[in-house]
Amino acid sequence: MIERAWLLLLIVGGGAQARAENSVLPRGVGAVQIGSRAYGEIGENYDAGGNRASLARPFERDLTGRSILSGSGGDDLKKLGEALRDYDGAAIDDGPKLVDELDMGKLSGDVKANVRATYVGAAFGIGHELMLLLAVPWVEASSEARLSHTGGNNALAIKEKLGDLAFTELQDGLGRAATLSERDVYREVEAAGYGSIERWEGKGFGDLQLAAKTAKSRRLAHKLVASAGAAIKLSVPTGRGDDPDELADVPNGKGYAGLGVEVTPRVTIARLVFLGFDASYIHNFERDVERRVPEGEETLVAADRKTTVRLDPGDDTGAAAVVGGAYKGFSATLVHGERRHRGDRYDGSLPGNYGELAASSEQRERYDEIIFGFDTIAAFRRRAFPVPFMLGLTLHRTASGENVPAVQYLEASVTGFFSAN
Amino acid sequence: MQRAASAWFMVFALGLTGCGEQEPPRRVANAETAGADATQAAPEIKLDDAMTARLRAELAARDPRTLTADELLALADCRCAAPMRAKFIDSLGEGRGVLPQVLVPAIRREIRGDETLNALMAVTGAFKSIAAWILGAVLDDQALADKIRSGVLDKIKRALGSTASLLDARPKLTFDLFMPENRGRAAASVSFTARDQAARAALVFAHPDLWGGASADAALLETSRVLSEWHYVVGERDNETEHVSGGLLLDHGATNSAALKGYEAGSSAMPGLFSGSYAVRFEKAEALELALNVQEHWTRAPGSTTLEEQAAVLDAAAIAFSRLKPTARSASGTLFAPVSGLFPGNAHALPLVFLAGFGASFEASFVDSERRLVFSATDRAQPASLSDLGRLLGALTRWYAELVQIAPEDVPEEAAGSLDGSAASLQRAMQLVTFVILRDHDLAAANVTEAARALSALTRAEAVGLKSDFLVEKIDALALDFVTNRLRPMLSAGVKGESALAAFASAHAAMHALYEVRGAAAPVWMEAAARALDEVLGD
Repeated sequence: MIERAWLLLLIVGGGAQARAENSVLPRGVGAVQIGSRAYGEIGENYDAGGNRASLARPFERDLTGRSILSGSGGDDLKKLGEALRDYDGAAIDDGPKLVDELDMGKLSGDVKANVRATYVGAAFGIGHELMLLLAVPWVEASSEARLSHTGGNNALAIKEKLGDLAFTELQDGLGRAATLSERDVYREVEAAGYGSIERWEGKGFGDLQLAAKTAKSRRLAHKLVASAGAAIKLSVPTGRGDDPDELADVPNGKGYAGLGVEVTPRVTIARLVFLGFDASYIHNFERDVERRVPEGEETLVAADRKTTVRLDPGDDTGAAAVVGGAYKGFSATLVHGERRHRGDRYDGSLPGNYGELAASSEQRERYDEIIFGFDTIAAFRRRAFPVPFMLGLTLHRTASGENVPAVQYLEASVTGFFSAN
Repeated sequence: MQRAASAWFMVFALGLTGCGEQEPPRRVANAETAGADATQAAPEIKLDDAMTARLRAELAARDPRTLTADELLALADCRCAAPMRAKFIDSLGEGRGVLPQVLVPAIRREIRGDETLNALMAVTGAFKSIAAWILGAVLDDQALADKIRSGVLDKIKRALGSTASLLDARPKLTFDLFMPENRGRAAASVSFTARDQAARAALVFAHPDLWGGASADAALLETSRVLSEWHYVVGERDNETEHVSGGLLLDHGATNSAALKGYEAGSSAMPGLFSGSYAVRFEKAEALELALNVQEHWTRAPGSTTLEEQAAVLDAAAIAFSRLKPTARSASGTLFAPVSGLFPGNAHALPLVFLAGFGASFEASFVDSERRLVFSATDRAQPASLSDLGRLLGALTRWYAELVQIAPEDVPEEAAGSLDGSAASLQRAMQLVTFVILRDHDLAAANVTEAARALSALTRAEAVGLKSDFLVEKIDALALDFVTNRLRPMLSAGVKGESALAAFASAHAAMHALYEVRGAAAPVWMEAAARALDEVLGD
C-alpha cells in the first residue's frame, strides 16, 4: 500500500466556546454535524528517519550495479548483480569491476493520492454534563502512479564485454535488463498478483467512532474559568483495512478496534481567550487479518504467501497544545499536537519475516491546525438569532513525522441542534 | 565393443632404444617475431630459451621412474622437453605400470591364428602330451616374442620406410616387459592408475615427432601401446569367439570393481569412466598357455572418481584425437591403412569414448548447477581446486577446439550423430569452469604450477571458445601479476616448495599461450616480462 496510516480521527466538534470551555450538550439536546474533509494532493510521506520522501519511493529504483546488488532493483536484478560480482571474484583484484561498470539508469516515479472524507456525526446530551457522540465517515480515495526511466543503460555493453563467457541465463538477463523500463515494474507488480498501481480507486465507510464525554468547569477568579473534559472513545473497525493484494490502496479504516480516553483541560480568560491541551490514549485490540508474509525483505511478496495472521496493533497516543480566542460568535484556534502509533506485531503459522511485515508501523505525526469557527449559539440563547448552528473550517498540516503521509487538508463542517425536551 | 581393425599386437614388448632427443621446435609469438634469431631476441624467444634450458636441467637430474603424473602432464602441456626417448618411455612404464602385453587381445588373436600352432593344437589323445612338448620346445617365450616382433617390425617398415631406426635396433622382446618385477613369480600381478596412464598418453600424443622425425619410431610404438591400453580399457569383443577382453570402465556413480564394464560403440548406454587404480591377477603359466587361455581378474581400488584424474584422461584423449583424426594424418596416412597399417583407421574413435563418458557424468557427478559449484570428486565433499579446474578447462578447451568445426571426414562412423551439440555442451562447461576459477580462486595465492596452468587454460579458452573482452582484461591482469611475482623470481632464484620441473613446464606453457594469443596486442605484461628478462638474464 502507499501508506498505512490514514487515521481519520473524525470528531464531532463544537463551537469555539464549547471547545474553550469543554461544554457538553444539555440533557435532551442533540446535535447533528456534517463535515467534509478534502486533502490536498498527497505525493510525499515521512519515512522512518523523519525525512520527506516521495510516495513513489517503493517503486523507484537506482539501477547502478552496486545498487542492484543491494537489492534496489528487486530479486532478479540482484541475482544479475551477484553474477557479475562473481565474475570479478577472487582471481585478481586489479582492473575494473563489472558490477561497478553496470549502470542501467534510474526508475523514478510520481505517485499522487487524493482523499476526500465526508462524515455525519451526532451528539446527544443524556444527563447533566454527559453526552454521547457518534460519527460515521465516508471516504473516497484514489491514487495514481506514473513511473519513468531516466539515464542511460549499458547492460548491452556489459553483455558484449562478457561475450561468450557469459552463461546463457546471464546473457538473457542482460538482454532483458538492456530494455528495462517502467513497464517492467508494472508487469512485475501485476505478475505478483497485485492490483495495478497505475490507478487505484476506492470508497466506503470508515471506522465508526463512538464516544461518551463529560465536562466540568469552575470559575477560578473573575473572568478566569477552568474546565476539564474527559471522553471515553471507541473505534469500531467498520472501515476497510489494508488490502494485501493492493500496493496503491488507501485504507479507510484501521482494521481493528480501539478503546481509550481523552482529557481536555482548559483555562478561559474573560470568555475571550482560552488555552489548554488535549491528551489521549487508545488501546487497540488484536485481530486476525489477511497479509502476504514476506520471506525476506522483498518489496513484492508472492501471492501464495497470503495467509491469515494475527495482528497485535500498537496503541495510539496523542497530545496537543491548544490556544484560541473568540469574539461575538467568531473564533480562531491554534493547535500544535503530536499523534503516535506504537509498532504493530504480527504472528502466524506460515514461516516468514513477520518483522518485515510490521516495518513502518511505528508512526508519529506532529501537526499544526488552525480552526476558524462561527456559531450562533450565544445569539440564540439571547434570542437574538432564531437558529443555533455552528460553522467550522479547519486547516491541518503535517509538520513532521515518521512513517506517515505528509498531508494538508481543509475541513468544513456545519452543526445543527435540536431539542427532544 | 570397439572392434580392432588391425593387429595391435606389435607394440607392447618393444624395448624402445636409440631414439635421440629431439630439439624442441622454436615457437614464436606472432608474425613479427617469426623467424627471428634466438640470440637476438624477441623477448618471448629469449624467455623460451631460458625456460627450456632450466627445464632440461631439471629433467636431466631426475630418474624418469620418479616423475609424477602431474609432472608428465606439465611436460605434455609444455611440449618443450622432447622426452620421447626409448629408455625414458621404458622407465615410465616400469615405474608406473602398464597393461601386460599378454592381455592385449590383438596379440592373443595373432597367436591363436597361427596355422602351425593350430595344427599342433589339433592333436588329440595320446599324442597330446607329445604335441604339448613340441609346442613348448618350438614356441617358447622367446619364439613367441620373436614372432610378435617380426610382425610389428613389418608393419612399421611398411609405414615408415626403411629408414626407420627401430628396424636396426633389434629390441629385446619379452612377454612381461612391462611387469618386470613379476617375472618368474607363481602368480603374476600388475597395477596401474588411470591418471598415470593418461599422463603417459598425453606425453606421447603431444610429442611433435609423432608422425615423423628422428624419434618417430619410438613415438609410434608408444602410441600403439597407449592405444592398445585404451582399447582394452574400453573393452574388445572377439567376433569369432565372442570373448570380451578388458572392459574397465566404471559405471557412473559407482566406486568399486563390481561396476566395471565395457562399452560397445553404438550402444544406447553411455560409456563409463576410466577411473582409479586397477590391479590384475592371473596364474603363472608358459607364454603359450597365457596367450591362449589366460583369465585375468581385475579389481579396482574402492574410491570415488576425482575430477583431476578425469581432466587428465579427458586432456590426453583430446590430444590423441587431434593427432589421430584423418585430417591430421597427412603423409602418415599409411600408418592407418587397412590390414597393413599400424593403427586401425578408426583409431580416432577411441578418445571420443572418454569424452562421452565424462560428458555423461560431469553435470550429475561433479556439478551443482544451482549454486554453480564444481566438486573435486564424485563424492561431492570438496569444491574443486584451482589445479583441478585449470586441468579441466585445458581439456575442455582442447576438445572444443576439435569439435566446434570438425571436418566431416574426422567424424568416426561409430560417432556419427552423437557429436551433435557436443561443442555447445563443451562451451557451457568452459563457461562454468572459467566462472568458478574467477569467482573462487585467487591465482596470486596459488603455487606456480597451479597459477600457470590456470592462466594458460584461461588464455586458450578465451582464444578458442570464450571470446570475451572482459576475460581478456582479466587475463592481462593475471599475466602481469604472474610475470611480476612468479616468473621473475623463479628465473632468478628457482622454484621453492613445489616441483621445479612441473613449475617450469607449466610456466613455459602459460607464457607460450600468452604470447601466442595476446602477443599481437602487446599488453602491459609483455613489457614487464621483457624488463624482467633483462634484469634476470642480462642483455
